[in-house]
Amino acid sequence: MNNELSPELDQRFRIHVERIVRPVRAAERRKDRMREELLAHSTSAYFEERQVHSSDDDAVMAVFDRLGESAELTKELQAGVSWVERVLFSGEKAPTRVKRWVMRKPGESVWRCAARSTAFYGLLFPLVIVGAAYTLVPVLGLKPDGFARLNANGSILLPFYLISLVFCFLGTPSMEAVHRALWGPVKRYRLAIWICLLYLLSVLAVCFWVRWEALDGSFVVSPDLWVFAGVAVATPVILIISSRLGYSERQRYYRWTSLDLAE
Amino acid sequence: MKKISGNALRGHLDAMVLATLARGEAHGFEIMQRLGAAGRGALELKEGTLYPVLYRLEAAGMIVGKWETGATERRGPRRRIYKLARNGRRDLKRRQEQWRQFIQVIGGIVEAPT
Repeated sequence: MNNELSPELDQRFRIHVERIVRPVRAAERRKDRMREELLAHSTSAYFEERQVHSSDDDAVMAVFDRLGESAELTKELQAGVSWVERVLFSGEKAPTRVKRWVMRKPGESVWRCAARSTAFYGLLFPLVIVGAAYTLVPVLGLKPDGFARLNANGSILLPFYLISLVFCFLGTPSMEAVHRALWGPVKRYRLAIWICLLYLLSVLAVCFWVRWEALDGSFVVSPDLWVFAGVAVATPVILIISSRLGYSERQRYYRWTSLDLAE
Repeated sequence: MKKISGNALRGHLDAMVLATLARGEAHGFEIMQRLGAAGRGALELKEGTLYPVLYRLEAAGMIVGKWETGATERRGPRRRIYKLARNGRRDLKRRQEQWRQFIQVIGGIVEAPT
């Protein structure tokens, strides 16, 4: 039996499931699981009902009835979530909006998405750093001139900022390309290795350039090189892991959370 | 046959799910189908209520769930396959004993000749 719904029906079931799951205060991973399972159940029930009912509408209404009252189901799903998780994720609305803004929208080019998320983090990082300067430095008892020295000639903070932005911008397309190469319908291991190497080289190039600039062109072998070696090992590993764990999950997450429940 | 509704079943749903999974691993929809068949159409259960039960049992270590792998021919949303864990098997045995005792004692009282 073909268990694939038409896009319209799929959308109707998704909206119904999202109405049940969205109000639950729980971690997104848990909610994602609820969504997937309820959607799979609705799909199977629909094909069963379609053999009894003559119209799609009747079959869909029968499935909704079989699942039960949405508010009641939300309450039951909520009851299974520990109070700690409930408290931790009670204010999920704001992060959800932020995540949705940073995530790639359907039909959007990967470069545009990379530019948008880079702009977002580009604005966020200075705020975090300035916030830390004004709160943590006095609290930890550091001398204010120590912090000022860090920023002298843009030696630490500016390079750190630039590296973060490069990571950010190249990260999105690289992650997507690695995901396609390793977990797409056609496995392209060599391509995945090349992407990882290119990503790594660009990150290392930026690191070396920043280091060169910071030392006024007098680049010497220093303990900082160990940091570069760490970056060299960590970058491909992080890229592969995040493309496996993060990419498809984020795509799914966006698909669910962008549903308009007023439909 | 008169229908047995959700409220009457509420306290027994965990045991019923465990007993269903004792017959072999299954995904949510299949568990519901097995329950329906075993209840011979008398169970009136809202199907969505099965999932909170499954999550509760999994959190308690009674059942183990894993996502269906992509190896199947089936298309559509992913399903989670559940199977009984050792703890669940033990718990089911305990519940079955309790149930037999319950029927014996309460049945003896309720069905006593007036």
